[in-house]
Amino acid sequence: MSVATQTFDAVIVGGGGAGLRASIELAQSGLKVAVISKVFPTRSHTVSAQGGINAALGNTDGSDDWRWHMYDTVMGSDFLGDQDAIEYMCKNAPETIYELEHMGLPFSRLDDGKIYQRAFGGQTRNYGGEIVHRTCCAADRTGHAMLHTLYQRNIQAKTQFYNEWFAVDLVKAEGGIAGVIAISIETGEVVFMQSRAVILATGGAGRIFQSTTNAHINTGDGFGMVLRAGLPLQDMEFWQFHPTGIAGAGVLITEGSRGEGGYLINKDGERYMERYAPHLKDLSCRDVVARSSTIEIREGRGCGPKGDHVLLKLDHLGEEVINKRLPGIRDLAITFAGVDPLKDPIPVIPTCHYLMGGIPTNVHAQVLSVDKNHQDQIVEGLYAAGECACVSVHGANRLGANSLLDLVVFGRSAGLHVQQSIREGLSFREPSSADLEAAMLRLNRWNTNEKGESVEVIRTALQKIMQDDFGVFRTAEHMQEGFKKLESLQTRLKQACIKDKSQCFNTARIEALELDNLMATAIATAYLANERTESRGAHARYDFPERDDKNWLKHSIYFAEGNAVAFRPINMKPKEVEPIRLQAREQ
Amino acid sequence: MRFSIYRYNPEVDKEPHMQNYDLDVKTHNCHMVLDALLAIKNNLDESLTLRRSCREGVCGSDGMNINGKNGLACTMHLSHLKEPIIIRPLPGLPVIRDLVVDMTQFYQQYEKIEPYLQNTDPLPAKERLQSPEERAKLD
Repeated sequence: MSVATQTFDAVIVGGGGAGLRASIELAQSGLKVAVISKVFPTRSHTVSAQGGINAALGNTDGSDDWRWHMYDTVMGSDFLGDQDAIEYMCKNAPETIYELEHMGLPFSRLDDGKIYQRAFGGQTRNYGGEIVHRTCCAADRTGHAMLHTLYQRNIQAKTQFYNEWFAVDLVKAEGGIAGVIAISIETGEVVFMQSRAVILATGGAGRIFQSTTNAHINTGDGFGMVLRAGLPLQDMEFWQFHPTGIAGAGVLITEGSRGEGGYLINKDGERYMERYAPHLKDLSCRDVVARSSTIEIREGRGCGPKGDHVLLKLDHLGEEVINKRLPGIRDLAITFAGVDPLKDPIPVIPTCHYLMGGIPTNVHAQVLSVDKNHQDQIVEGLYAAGECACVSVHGANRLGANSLLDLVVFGRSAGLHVQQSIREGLSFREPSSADLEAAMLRLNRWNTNEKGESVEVIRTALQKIMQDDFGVFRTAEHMQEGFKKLESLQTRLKQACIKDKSQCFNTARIEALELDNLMATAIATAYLANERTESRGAHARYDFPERDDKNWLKHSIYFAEGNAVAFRPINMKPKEVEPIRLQAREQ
Repeated sequence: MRFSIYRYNPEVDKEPHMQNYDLDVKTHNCHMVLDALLAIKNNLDESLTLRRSCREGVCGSDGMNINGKNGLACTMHLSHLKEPIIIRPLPGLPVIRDLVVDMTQFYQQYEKIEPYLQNTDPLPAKERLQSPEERAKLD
């Protein structure tokens, strides 16, 4: 097997927030680091994050406490989150924000010059009390500001970028991961990037659904890579549906619009969240609001000629607040919904937004597998951070503005641990030629398959199955139907082909490689969703409507080989504070 | 709806040419230029090559020249455009393939301006203070 080899201390796959935060840490320390990104880094999906990033700074309210933030995050997670990881994230949040501010992130400001903080869903004072203002933001373009700041800092640190390169697969070797096979989109050149450490920062996979707030590029590439390398994924049944995607277009309207005082109404003009969640109302957790909206629509109280959406009312906030705090939202509503929120409400519908599950890791972002005796095993040389990782700080439901926090906290922690491991002697692993061949397998398949269905046919069918059978509410009946369809689709995918075999900027080939990853992600989701016979967080079943702590207070684990399902315990032992004890949530 | 699109693949074409496509934009539920381009790629000609990512006007991937005007395909309404819709790559940059231009020079110039916060003052324990008025100057 001959393939050109390049060597690095660390290879980071993905140029979004997590990848770029990790690379700063590494490039500054003088290590040889490559960031592989399938799009120019500032076009990664972090750029679309709107509302903000949580940290208990207490700037707007005068006081706040990271322990309250931790409590809210555990409650939001419906107790599926690991309390040691949540503690680490919330405790490190303020310092992480100050670091970003020192890098130049242009946060919105209060009159006293401190960072402005707005209200967001599920954020409370004093362990479930009144709503707190904890979300730091740069108007409603926080992800944009963050991603550009991180990229600029990487320019300063002289990070080496492989832009418009696509990671095909991990290369395994005795005892761990040896690197990745990557292809240049522009030239078709294939390279084995050998490295002491690989950090996966490949983001989400919302494109498995028909309707999603996610960019076209969110195709679960890291999930496919990990499964094909024989490693597991965790909690893949937990997909967040954001309450306010623009109906039809899928484009996100930030929760910050409700944080600033907007609210949802049904066709009768009723502010229905007051009925479902009297305490937090429109600022309840996203799973609660998304389910409430779905019920409103299902029970005939939806808006529009087809009754297929609800409305987000903002006009009462007035021109000044909308133009100052939500300017991007106004633009998006005008462009994609044809309404100006200064005058009219925005038609919205729960839309697939975020995957809480992913590649299991510890707080150092080291990837974990599970052995035959149900023990965690660290995979040497492999890390994951950001949406692709499941550390797990979001559990069964993520709080708004905790994802940007997750990116920077664990991107940083991955960078720090890789540095330390290299100092302590983490070395290269040598793959056999069979290992290399295995990592080239699917590239060769797409290059040689001549006859078969198109990528578009399979992708559209996949998205329809997931939308119809694995949406906001699930039942065994639907899921089993979906299952059958998915399995036959998986067989058809093996025979599918691309006609364009050219080398130069062949995006048909990249979309084909992405489709393998979408399929792997969808199958993992289907298996674990079907397995979990309870309702918890974003996983809501008509046939099992209650949370079942006796049987299901555990992470679920999926291996592609034999579609094996296993379980891991949830960590309920934070290091510094008392564990947060099981209790019911406002539904 | 008729589209006339700039095509050039250096592996097969000696010179660039314009290619016509007729697309039923209603059947394919297309509202924006990007929707139409992807419907053409997905249903008529998978070799049509363009960049796209966020599809909501934030990331800037799908900058191109549409009926003589530079803009983002994902925020350009089809209903606002005259037929045939003429689509070309952004002008003034080398073409890699079809609508994909080589941005290397742009990025090199960007790096040259050292586009990062340059401040050698000692770091405060918390955030640096900045009034809303000072902040507004950055927009």
